[in-house]
Amino acid sequence: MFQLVLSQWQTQRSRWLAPALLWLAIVLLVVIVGLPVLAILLYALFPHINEWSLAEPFSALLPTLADGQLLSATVNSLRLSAAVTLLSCLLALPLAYQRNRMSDRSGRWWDALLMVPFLIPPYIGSMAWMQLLQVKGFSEQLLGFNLAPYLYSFPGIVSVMALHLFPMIYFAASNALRVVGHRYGDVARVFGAQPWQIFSCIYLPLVLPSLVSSCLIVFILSIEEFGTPEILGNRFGFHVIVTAIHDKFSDWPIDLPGASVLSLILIIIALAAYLLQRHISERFSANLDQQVVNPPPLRRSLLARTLTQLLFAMVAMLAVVLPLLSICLSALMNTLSGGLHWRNLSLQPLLRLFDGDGDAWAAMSTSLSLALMAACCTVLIALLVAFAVVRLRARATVLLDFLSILPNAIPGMAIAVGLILTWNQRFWPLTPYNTSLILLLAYVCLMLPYPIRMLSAALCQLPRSLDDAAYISGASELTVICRILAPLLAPVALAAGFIVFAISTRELVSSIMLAPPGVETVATYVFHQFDQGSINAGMAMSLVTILVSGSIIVCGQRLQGRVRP
Amino acid sequence: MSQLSIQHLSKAFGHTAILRDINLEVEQGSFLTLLGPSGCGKTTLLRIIAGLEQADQGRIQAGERAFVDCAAGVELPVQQRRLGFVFQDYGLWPHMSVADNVAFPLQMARVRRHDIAVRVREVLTAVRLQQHADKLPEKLSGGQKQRVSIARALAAKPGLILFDEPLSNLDANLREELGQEIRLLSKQLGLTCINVTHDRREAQILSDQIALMKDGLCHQLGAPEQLFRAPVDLWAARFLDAGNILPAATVMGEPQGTAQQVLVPRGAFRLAEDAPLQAAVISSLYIEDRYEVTASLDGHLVKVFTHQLLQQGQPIRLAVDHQQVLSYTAD
Repeated sequence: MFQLVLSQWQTQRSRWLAPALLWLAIVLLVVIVGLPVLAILLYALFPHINEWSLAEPFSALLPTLADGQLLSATVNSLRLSAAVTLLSCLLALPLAYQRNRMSDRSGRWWDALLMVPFLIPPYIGSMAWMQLLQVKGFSEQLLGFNLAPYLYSFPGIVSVMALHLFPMIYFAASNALRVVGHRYGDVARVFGAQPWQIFSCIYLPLVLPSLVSSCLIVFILSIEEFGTPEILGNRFGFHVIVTAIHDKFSDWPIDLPGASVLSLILIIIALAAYLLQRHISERFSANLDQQVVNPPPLRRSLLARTLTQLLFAMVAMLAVVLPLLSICLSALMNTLSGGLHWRNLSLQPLLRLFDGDGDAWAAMSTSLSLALMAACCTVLIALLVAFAVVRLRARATVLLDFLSILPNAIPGMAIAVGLILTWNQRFWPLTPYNTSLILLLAYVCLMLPYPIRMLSAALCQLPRSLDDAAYISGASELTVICRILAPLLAPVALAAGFIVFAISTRELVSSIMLAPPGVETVATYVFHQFDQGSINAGMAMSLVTILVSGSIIVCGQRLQGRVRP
Repeated sequence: MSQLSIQHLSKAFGHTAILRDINLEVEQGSFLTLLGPSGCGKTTLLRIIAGLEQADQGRIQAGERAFVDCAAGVELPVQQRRLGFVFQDYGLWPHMSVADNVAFPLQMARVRRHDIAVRVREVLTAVRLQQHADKLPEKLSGGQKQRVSIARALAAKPGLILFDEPLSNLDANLREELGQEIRLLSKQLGLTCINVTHDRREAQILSDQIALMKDGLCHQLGAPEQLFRAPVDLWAARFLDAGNILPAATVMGEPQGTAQQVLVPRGAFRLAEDAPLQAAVISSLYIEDRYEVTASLDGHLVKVFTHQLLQQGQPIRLAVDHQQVLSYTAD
């Protein structure tokens, strides 16, 4: 009835395709992630490497390390991150504890509200706090006092950053408590444990790993944060490593080896924290069965319940309501000098953004198109890398795995510096530097870990027999990827693309460092408008960004939540 | 002529030998089962035959075609071996309907669209799933899923079908039923099949030949009744659970030459008033249509079948059919 025609051509194809895909994945990751990191390392050690010379090795390292400013910036970075982590913990832990004693219905509502800080980019949050608390800010206009001296101080920066980051710890801790709390505690109680024994022998060991691991993530995010220290810290001469690197590039003469040494220090600190975090979450986290039995509701007095709700309301007020209110009000003010007055409020600043000839519109379309391209590129590369790492199991996948998690640990500022050091060289016949392509490269590099992690996890869940069955049926690797794996991973890929798109639209650090002259993205537009005093225009743009990227992130998470492989 | 011939096949992962010098012949139309405990190399052997893993040494010849010839550097890609494979976890593509799953091997072989539709209907009818053609696999029960997997393996009329523990994911009743069905289908269509399992019952249901594997070696090869009646050594007797293993002196009364241990099949024991061996009943369970009695004979546990109801602790006398007893010279 039919004949199986198998040509020599097919034999060849199936032999070279797998190695070709593996090599493609390796080359892409080495160019996108490996080169910038390598460039930083080489520049820090050999300042003349761009002339292909290894002359004067370590000549940049020692003077830069001896520089008092560097020392104070490093100490400041560590001090700031530690303080932010501590304050986030203090904010998050009581809430997480109370969350598990609260009825699930109101708990979910508070959870949704505490997700909001993730949607406000930190630089916009800092600007919002400035509008609120500065001299002649909203608080002074409405209530007659300002908190400017507090805002422009170390505790001020720490508070602003902690209010942005504490939900990270809150969600980790409240989830761990929820899984552990009722069942494992009950089991211990059945076998005769006293309350303090339950706490020290059951709760603490089970919750601690995820708590410590989320604290380290907050630490990493604080140490790589640029916007808040730049906006608030600059006003009282507070410098951290990230802002010091920015200064190395903005002050003439540009000090490339110095910047690379600073970046190296930043990378070492962040990488150490990241590796520690991975070690803890892999080594110590017990495999809890995620099955949660809904406990009978706790009987609590009206006073206790009211106090709990009040606590949540207070924190939500500080972390969510006040910054959002400040952003909205600033975005609706016709003129700054007009002050907070009904007649001064209108939709005019928002409408002005969508004026087809304006800078705002150009920045928005640049950001949106770059974000779209970044989303497509990262998802395609991630698909390839996930396939190579999960399915091909070659020895080279160790390198792929390492390169793909590297951007997780390496701060955005360091990536930006690495990209400059890599591509701002004369020996390249073609370079993306000084074109918008360098921004695309930066976004792809920074965002790659998200889709790789999501797609690898999804691919691990697909049994290998699905591939094997197709190979035995006569399918090549390409057919397996296109007809079997891609359709099955499509929902996850789409979700990952949404998240990359949303985060890329608001990315600040690499945009500021890398945008070629005359090109503005949403983030640089907001930043520059703020610098120039057109706060209403900047805040109008911020509001649009928060709404757009927020709704896309929510869409992406809904989509991912629905996937059941 | 044999359909599949495996000669001197070896495979190691690092320094651990997985397969050592395997030699097997599978006749056209026969059903071979590779039976063995986990880690004996049976699954690796199956995957090497399929082309999903590579051998280090040896040859595999399928009819006229060389699948593997390590000495000559021949390694036919998995895509060109024209095999059917039935996976333990079904391996059905969840995004394709039952009919699309079955049609896939035909599409890969570039069969004309009309012929594909005809053939898909044909094989789905053979596994009694013609009404389920448009459903997604997730809508089917475990047994139905495995039948789709079998239909897919049959679709392109392969010369050889490989089964990787096809029944182990199913519950006991279904296992028996689908096992019979596979057996019947393979005989009707004259298929050459190789099956891998650790379950002796599955091997008994399906096979013409069983290759008992141990530590990467083919330990014993034969028809099921040969294997179970005459295990080659005590390890085989224990793994196959072929009967009671007892010291020779206990059964025979006195040492018999060099034989130290004997295998007494359960059916070789008979309850008799005047028999020489005295035992005490430990338990008596009614299974299928008779009692399975566990008794203590000189401190050794023995299992015996009877139709009598016995009380716990009741003394019994056992006669042995010496024709069925096999002697071994210890481990």
